[in-house]
Amino acid sequence: MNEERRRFIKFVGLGAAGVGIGLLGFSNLSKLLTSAAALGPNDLKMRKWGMVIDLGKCTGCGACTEACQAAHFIPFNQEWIKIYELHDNPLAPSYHFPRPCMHCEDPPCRNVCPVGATFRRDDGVVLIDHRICIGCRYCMVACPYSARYFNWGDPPHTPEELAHDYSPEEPWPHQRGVVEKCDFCVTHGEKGMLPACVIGCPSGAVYYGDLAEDAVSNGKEILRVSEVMRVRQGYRFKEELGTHPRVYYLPRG
Amino acid sequence: MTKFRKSRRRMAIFVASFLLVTGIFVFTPNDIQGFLGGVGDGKFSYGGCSCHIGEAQRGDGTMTLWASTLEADANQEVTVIVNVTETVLTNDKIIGVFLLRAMTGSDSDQPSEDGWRIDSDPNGNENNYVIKNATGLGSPVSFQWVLLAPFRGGTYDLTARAQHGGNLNSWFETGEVLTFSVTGTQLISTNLTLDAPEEVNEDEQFTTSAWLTNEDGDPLEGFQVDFFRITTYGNMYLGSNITDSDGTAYHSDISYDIGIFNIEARFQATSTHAPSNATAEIPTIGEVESEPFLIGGAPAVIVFLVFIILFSVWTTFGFVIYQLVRINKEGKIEEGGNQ
Repeated sequence: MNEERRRFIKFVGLGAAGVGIGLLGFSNLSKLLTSAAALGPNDLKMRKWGMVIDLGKCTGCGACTEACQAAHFIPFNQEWIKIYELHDNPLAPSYHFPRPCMHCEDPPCRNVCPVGATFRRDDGVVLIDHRICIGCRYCMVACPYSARYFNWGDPPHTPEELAHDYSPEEPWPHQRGVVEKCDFCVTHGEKGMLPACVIGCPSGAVYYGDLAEDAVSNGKEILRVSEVMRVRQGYRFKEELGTHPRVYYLPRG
Repeated sequence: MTKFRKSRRRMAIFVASFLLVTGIFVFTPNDIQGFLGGVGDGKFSYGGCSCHIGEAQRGDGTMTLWASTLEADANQEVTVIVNVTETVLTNDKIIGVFLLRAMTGSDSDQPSEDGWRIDSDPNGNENNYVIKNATGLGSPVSFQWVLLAPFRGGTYDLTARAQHGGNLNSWFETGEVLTFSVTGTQLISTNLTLDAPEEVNEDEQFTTSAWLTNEDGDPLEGFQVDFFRITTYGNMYLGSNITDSDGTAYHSDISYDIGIFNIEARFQATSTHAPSNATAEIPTIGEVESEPFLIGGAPAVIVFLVFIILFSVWTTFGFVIYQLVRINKEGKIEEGGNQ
């Protein structure tokens, strides 16, 4: 019995030693387990990237979708900014409703991701790290805006796409078995540039900017968000869900 | 004794496997961990805006520049037209043109650096960068600016650079340069001082005052001062006010979010007075909303404790299983045991 106990103590001791060795790389482990959200640079903290879409200006031409697809080398069956034609009032004509990823402040997709592949940066942009994504598609179920897409097969690649180094901020080359979505062209914003959909919109319906500055731009004019929301009675899509989207809509005239 | 050796071997295999798995788990995250800070957030601004600038290959097209006059007096209106004819267009058929004083690739290329003031750009605003849609292949697209000539006499260059395509994949520039000869004028120089609060709270109203004086320090009454917020994508107009008998124009505003409220007061030139401007930074403080607990990452201490607890539980469980497995079957004679 004594021998058994000794063996057990030895066993636990060796195990503890294993844990100790493991903990030498604990910082890496905790980084992995805590996902990426806390690792953003300090200077992102004050940024609050957001979008304002003027439904009165949108003609439903689809140029934003095309510009987005070209800029991100998106597989043909995905529309990271999708145009819906809505007819929710029988007494009024239908209208077009562009729907990008809402980059929610409390994103359900991030909350359900079992491996921490979806994360939210300090500047509010919700991204996916495809090196971590296991393709379970829980996030697609959780997203109330249907803004996520799954790569069932190997998407076709261009040489330019393949030459690019993958990062969650510029998530190409695209790969099979992962979920993809709008990345708010976050690297554009960091360089003082506008997202592809904003540049591509010929009617200037899509505005983008730092909500902490209370300003968004469509490349032609700058809107004061607080003012335009008050005057035009802006709203957020499915506000009642409490996801706090960073995309605001201005209703038609 | 043999049994004990066997048991030790099994134990060693178990521990080695555990270490191996732990080692793989711990030492491989470099390849699978997430965002490491991105590509940095250095701003790249060119000529006031940079919507179409990117590392890219050259496109194909021609640009010509035309000016209403190449000899102007100070503050005289000058119309500049840039015609762009493209032979290659991307799907979105967008062309962006920068009006510039030079092509060094920096912010100092803006015409305002020479004292030019943009009265109206092709969209009716005051930007040196404008986006337009081309109608089709080879169709010329015209961009017209109305500028006010600098007050200081001298020769000044203006040129333009074009970019087409929303995917940042192609651009071209013009080599053509318009050289203007401007006859200067003696304007009364002005000085604008902007007084702003050192710090404000989120959602709190604050007031800034811009004090306009002449070169002798005397206040200037009855002149309009414009207020702008300096933002990532340009200056956002906030409002205007007229200077009172003290030469002061006031502007009240609200900062809705934490961060820096960069404000600029601008006095536009008149036929008698030179322009001046002043800027101020107003830090806005407030409570930063934090992520809900355990969302976006568990604290390292909790991860450590969970790891230790799980390890202890599974180790004990493993030991119990091990003890169960090694119970002798009925009739089996144990080697070296007490007979």
